[in-house]
Amino acid sequence: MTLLIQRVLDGLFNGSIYAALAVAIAISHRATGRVNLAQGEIGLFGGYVALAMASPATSYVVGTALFANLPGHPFHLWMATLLAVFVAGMLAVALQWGLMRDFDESTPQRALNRSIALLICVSAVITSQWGTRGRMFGELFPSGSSDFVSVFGARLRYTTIGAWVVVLIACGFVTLFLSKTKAGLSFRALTDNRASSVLVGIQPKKLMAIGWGISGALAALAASLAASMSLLDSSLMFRTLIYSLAAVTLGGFDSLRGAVIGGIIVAQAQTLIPGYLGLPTEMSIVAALIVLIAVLVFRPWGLFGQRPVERV
Amino acid sequence: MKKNFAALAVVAMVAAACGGDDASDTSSASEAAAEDADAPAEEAADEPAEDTGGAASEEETADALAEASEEDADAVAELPTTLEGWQELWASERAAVVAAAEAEGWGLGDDGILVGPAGFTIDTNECPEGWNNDEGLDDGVIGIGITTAASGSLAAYGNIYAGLGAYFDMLNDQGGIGGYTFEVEVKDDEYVATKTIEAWSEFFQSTKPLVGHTLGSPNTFSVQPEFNAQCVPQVMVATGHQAWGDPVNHPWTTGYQLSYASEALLWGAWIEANTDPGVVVAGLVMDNDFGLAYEQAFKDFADNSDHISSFEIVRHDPASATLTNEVTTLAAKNPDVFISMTAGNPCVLAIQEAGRSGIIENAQAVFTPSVCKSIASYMDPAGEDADGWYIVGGGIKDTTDAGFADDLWIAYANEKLDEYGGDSSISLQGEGFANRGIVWEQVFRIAAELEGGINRTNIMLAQRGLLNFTHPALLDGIKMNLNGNEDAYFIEGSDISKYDLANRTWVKQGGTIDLSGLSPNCAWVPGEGC
Repeated sequence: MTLLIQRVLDGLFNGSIYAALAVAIAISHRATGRVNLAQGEIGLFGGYVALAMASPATSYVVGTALFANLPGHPFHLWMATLLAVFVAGMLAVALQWGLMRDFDESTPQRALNRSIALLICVSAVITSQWGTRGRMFGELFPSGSSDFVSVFGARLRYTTIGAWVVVLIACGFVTLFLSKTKAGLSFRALTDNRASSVLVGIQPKKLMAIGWGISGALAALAASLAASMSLLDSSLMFRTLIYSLAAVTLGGFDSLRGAVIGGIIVAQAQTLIPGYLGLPTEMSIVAALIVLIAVLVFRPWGLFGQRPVERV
Repeated sequence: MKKNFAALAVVAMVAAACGGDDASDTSSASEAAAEDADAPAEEAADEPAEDTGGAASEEETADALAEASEEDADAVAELPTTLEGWQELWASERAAVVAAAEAEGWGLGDDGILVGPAGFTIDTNECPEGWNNDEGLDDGVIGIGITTAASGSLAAYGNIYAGLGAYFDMLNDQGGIGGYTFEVEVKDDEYVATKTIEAWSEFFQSTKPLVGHTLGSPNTFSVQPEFNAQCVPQVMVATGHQAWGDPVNHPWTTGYQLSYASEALLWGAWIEANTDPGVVVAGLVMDNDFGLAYEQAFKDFADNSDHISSFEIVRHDPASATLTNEVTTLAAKNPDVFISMTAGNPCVLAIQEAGRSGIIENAQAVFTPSVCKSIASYMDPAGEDADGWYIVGGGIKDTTDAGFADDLWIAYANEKLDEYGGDSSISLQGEGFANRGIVWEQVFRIAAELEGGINRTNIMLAQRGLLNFTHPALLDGIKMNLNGNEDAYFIEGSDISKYDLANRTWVKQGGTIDLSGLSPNCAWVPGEGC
């Protein structure tokens, strides 16, 4: 029983990462009606910026020399992460304005190809600048051998609690933005009915940039949280992207709540199914995708997505 | 929202509980042995272990360990104290090999048969039509082809070739060897065997280097037949799989480091000598040829040990981003000894997860493998959890180990590595420069002195006859030896060390373990072993 609880608790940490990136994908999808596969790499760029901001100038991390001119450098890891979240958000806005202005007007196939191209480009920039070896990111939360709460003999680690607190706070801010600000209301109107929104004066390009910015920031947060529990390496977010795509598809592309719950389900499937069916760990992604396929067979619009309705 | 969370949690827990019991997710070597109807567990425990190749016998290993334990860890043999002294020593060791070749008549005969030390032969008449012993020597340049992981979870090992490349740059600046300079081409195979095959297909068809080198067990396996069919030297591969000690069937392939089988036996011998009887040993195994070589060798040992009550295994995906699930499963077995049988980034993750899961605080000993010895690459990133880990270190001096800061060769190598565009703070670059570069140099220098000068067959002779090379980056007491068909493993000695986090150093536990010449050759059969 303790092992079962431990596995559920282990899955919760991964779930927080998948949820954060899944929400990022859902936001950008709501803004443009298209899936942006480059979101994870934009977040990874933010992770490396955080590393450079938190590393002393004498280290061999690219970017430290640039940030060394800022007062207070090297920053505390939390400060570096928050700044990097902002930088990643700005990068996403710049990419949307510069390269993907008509992303929403592309056909789904073309949009997919363009986001794959962007993914490869951002990934290449990251690899060329920071290399491919894993780097120690540092601890955002205490993660020593005694840093846990005992739950029936299992260890609920502070990192898991902390990651969920951070992800839920971030999701809370996004929800507040969408429900309490004029831009947020415009964003929701655009999502609900693009044609009518334009007719009443809403500027879709501006809102798309905001959507990409929020997504980039959330993705950077996901990358930093993931790196703090393992290592920051150039393939970190590509693997996470696959699980997060499964999560957002499971939850429904137009539902932030669905993205969060989808993240939890995918992570639990990844942990529990191979663990109890004796599958090799290479099959963990298959386990997650089996859950996804099962849901899509019965609810193609996802667990919390809106069922598509066509007016006649 | 709250209701949904609660419902999902309940569904997940029920579904998981229905899935199976705690024991179904791991393989237990002892259980597997007990299920073997042809060899009851009691009988198996009484029978002496067979020599399976690739490592000394269990008795020899235990004896060597006991002997080393009685030695003074700080005892230093008489070695040169200046670089000039080292150069003279190496020159004399090279001259001895060349003299032996002349005296014994080693070399490529007019009949196309290469004759080397201790029965070593290659019939070059069996090489492909048009095969050229001098291929890869163009306009005074020696072409060297290398494949390595330079991206992915084992990307750190790509640094070895930044270091080795710097070493060749240094040699080129010094005028090269035998009238040749070196041109090294490195291709990234991402530790994916199919990409290794693809890369070598290009090398064989277009670049056609004089010699080739591969990193990683699955990658080396994937192209080893082609190297031997094409009669191209596959030199000093960067993997410790025991299969590389097979000069009869694969004469063009040479290994380099301590074999994984030897390392696994030393884990076992140490465990028997230093832990309470009846220990449960947990192994976190990278699920590929590399990890399985460790697993198989240690499983064989555990099956024959009364001291080890069970050997619990969990394998992990080499590309896995985290090892939390795998280590959680092992922690549930309450292991007395934990052995990480992995490589690359998972070296760090295994240490961290062992700490977080409580394994470190509850186990009598935790081991990290020799391929994770690099302090800068693997022990530093692991943080506080790295303290107190044991290692069968393969006898190699880590160039970022504070304990070797005053070592003449290590200090020189670090200085030169930086001078030639490397980064001495990355210990795997130091490994390429200080540990591997010096041996590549000796091999080419010996080949240059043999009749016919540098060519493919002389490169093989230089390796197969490299007797008693005093390696400055190996711990004192470990020599490098190959001897034709009799001794197919370069390094057969090791340290057992414990990591001291505060001082960033591996502290030797006892003396150096010498297994020189004790490892039988290994004619590897996939699925069966040696």
